[in-house]
Amino acid sequence: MNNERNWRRTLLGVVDTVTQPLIAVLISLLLGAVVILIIGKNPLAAYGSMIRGAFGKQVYLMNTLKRATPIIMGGLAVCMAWRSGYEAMGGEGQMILGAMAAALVGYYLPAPGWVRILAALLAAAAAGALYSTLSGWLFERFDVTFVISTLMLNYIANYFASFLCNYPLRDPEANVYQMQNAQTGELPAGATLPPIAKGWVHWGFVLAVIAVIIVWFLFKKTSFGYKSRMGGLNPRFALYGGINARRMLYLVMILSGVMAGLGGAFETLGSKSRYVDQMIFSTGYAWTGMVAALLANMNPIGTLVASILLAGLAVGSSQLMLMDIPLEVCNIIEGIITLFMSARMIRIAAGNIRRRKQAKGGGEA
Amino acid sequence: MVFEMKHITKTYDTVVANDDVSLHLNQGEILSIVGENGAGKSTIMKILYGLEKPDSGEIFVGGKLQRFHNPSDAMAVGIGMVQQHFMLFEQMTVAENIVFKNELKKGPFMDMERTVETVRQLSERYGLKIDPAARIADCPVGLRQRVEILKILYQNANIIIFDEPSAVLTPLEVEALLETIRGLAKAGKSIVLITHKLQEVMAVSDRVYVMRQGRVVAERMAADTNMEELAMLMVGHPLASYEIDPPKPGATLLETKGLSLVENGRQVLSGISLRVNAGEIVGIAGVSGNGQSELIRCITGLEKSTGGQVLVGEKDVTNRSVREIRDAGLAHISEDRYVWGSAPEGTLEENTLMARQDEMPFSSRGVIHPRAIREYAQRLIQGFNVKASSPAQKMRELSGGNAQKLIVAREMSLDTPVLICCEPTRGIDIGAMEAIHSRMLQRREAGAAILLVSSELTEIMSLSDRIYVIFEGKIVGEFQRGSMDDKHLGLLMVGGSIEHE
Repeated sequence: MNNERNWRRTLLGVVDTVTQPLIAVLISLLLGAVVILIIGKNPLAAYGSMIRGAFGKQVYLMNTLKRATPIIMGGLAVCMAWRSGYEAMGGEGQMILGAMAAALVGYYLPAPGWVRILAALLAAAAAGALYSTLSGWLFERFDVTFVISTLMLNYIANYFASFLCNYPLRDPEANVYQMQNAQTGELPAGATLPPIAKGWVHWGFVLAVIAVIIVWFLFKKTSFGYKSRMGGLNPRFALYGGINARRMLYLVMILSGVMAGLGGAFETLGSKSRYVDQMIFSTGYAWTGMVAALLANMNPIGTLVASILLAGLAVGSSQLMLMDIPLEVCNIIEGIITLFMSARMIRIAAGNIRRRKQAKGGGEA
Repeated sequence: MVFEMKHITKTYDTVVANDDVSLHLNQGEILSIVGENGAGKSTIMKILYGLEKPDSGEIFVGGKLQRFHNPSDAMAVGIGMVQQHFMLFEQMTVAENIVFKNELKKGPFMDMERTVETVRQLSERYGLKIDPAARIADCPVGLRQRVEILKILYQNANIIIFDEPSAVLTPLEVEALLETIRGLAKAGKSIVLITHKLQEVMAVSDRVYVMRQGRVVAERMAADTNMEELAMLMVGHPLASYEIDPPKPGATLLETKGLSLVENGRQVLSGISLRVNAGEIVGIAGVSGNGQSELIRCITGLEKSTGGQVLVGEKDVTNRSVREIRDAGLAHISEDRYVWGSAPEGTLEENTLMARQDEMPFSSRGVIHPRAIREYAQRLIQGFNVKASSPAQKMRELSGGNAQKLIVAREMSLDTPVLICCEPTRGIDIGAMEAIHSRMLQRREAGAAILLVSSELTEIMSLSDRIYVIFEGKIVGEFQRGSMDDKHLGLLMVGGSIEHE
């Protein structure tokens, strides 16, 4: 009987993590509909084409999944750090360095293609981890808050990468007069992450899903996950129980940096085949990942789902332009939905309802 | 009579903080309210100052019925309060702080000259020396308190409440403060002094109320009483002692040698040497805030001491990590169950697992075994009669007593030779309290060395084989069970001596 109850609890937990983002999406779609009505279009038709544009055809769906890949990794990086109580926002910088490291190793390493891929992934993971550790060290040694250090380090990483691909490592073959961003040399054919099958998303997405499972396992099934959660829930309790806070800080920051760095590598190796100036910065992958993680309350599986939804939203809203809805309005709708989905109030409201139900159920205790 | 409070009752959730409290203050009088922590003395004054609303009862100021919604209302009828924690702007000057909210203006700007002059006059009138132009950040604590007092005087308060004013002061500053209080009364102000330091009470007050467990239990004229009587009234009569067999002498399992701690230039612990033997409960009696918390944090590794040694068994664990100290054979029921002792948002399972997460059968090679963890949690919940619906429910959903029982269960189940119990029964009901006490006695029978810290003197007296008294970071006395009565202990706890007996 007890087992049955536990089962129900687990099931409820799963339903919880999935329904909350969905409720958020629904409410925000309603608000978005108001905006569409104001500019005199039919919201239903608009949403229809949005959904079709995101998930309706294989091409669109694959586009969405491709876009979701770095978002998932950015989200996992946030899950790692935030669940342990370190509110770091350095995913963007780590992702940029990861993307750049992968682009350079993949381009310059004289080795067969698959070795280049492996080496590029390793280099990206290392770059992300080191950069993330740096903010951890600043926090531990000098009390620099994560918000400040990570945000500033993000700029440094972006401009450093920008400098590299504009000057010393600029692709000599790219047309200098072309109106486009600077970039590094293109990876040779065998050195990129290929599509899973013809017309499918690249293998980076599969690796991202594997990363989700690994993080889920770490959180749920290891004593490391237990310690990091306790540190996040009450750092004093963790200290009192003998958990080594310093060791946890660095472990967590390294793992978080590895996730973000790999996210950058997937984008380089699977999508762009090189580092293109601003490729991570202007797309906001890391930030969307943070929204996904917040939305899923730091649950890795929920982060996966939310990342795909958010990627679909971006891909799908570009379809609205075909209906003569201006790009700006598309962005407003995307903004409203993102804002609403990330609003904590939804989770709080859901929590209140549950508590009230429990109170009604009473007696059980 | 400048104010009168009639039949005030105030409850927080299930705790009755004030139970039908009536008191009054006369013109120009210095009134003290004494009592142990949690006796309700701060609550009653917060009600008078408009910080809290009573559930029932009436307040009369100057003969008129008042209803305060916030401190501004109280201030408007001349009531001011010097809080324990000062509310000053560090980066502004003394004068600016004093006139805050009632600035003297010249057009839209502050009239600095007139401000400084007014503050100077005020300070001279009451003999409270300050430099109006000094920055608060550069002022020592005693001066800051003086600024707080001037702030209240500037707002024309006639009734001044001091909430534990000497808690943060050095002995010399205390002398000056008492002088100030006398001066204010002479100048016609009426004073209420909340404290648990009896020397101060005897030194300045005209009249004293004693509070215990939310009630006024006695009213005395200072001239007609003495520290012994007040200490006795504060503590109340001891509960019936537990029947305890005399301790069997055992090896010393916990020892500190000259343990010291200097924090921000303040000597918090000075040379504390104590030992706890196997099969013995040793109590540390003291008014809270005399270094008990710091002592325990230094022993358990939560804070680094600045001198001396800590030994667990044979092992020197001075300033080692919490992990190493726990591994040397020490468990610790912490003084605050939600700040240190648990993660309220975590499940009961997670809360019972703490400190054992890397042990078999709960995990192997870093992978946890949820089944073993759940069974363990269930065993502790049942074994200690914790009222809970499921090991997967959250810690904060438990009542205070049940949460405490779970923490006690966790730490006792570690089966360590040394057990530290800090305020093990604070704020919980009698049933849970007795359950925890009897567990402690069982562990003692089993040969554990138990160090008990409590601000409840009755708890210390009824459980301990030996008692150390701590006052201002020093051990000021050591007694065997039965060789000491609560009156004398109470006196030692507040810094008195018993030599004149």
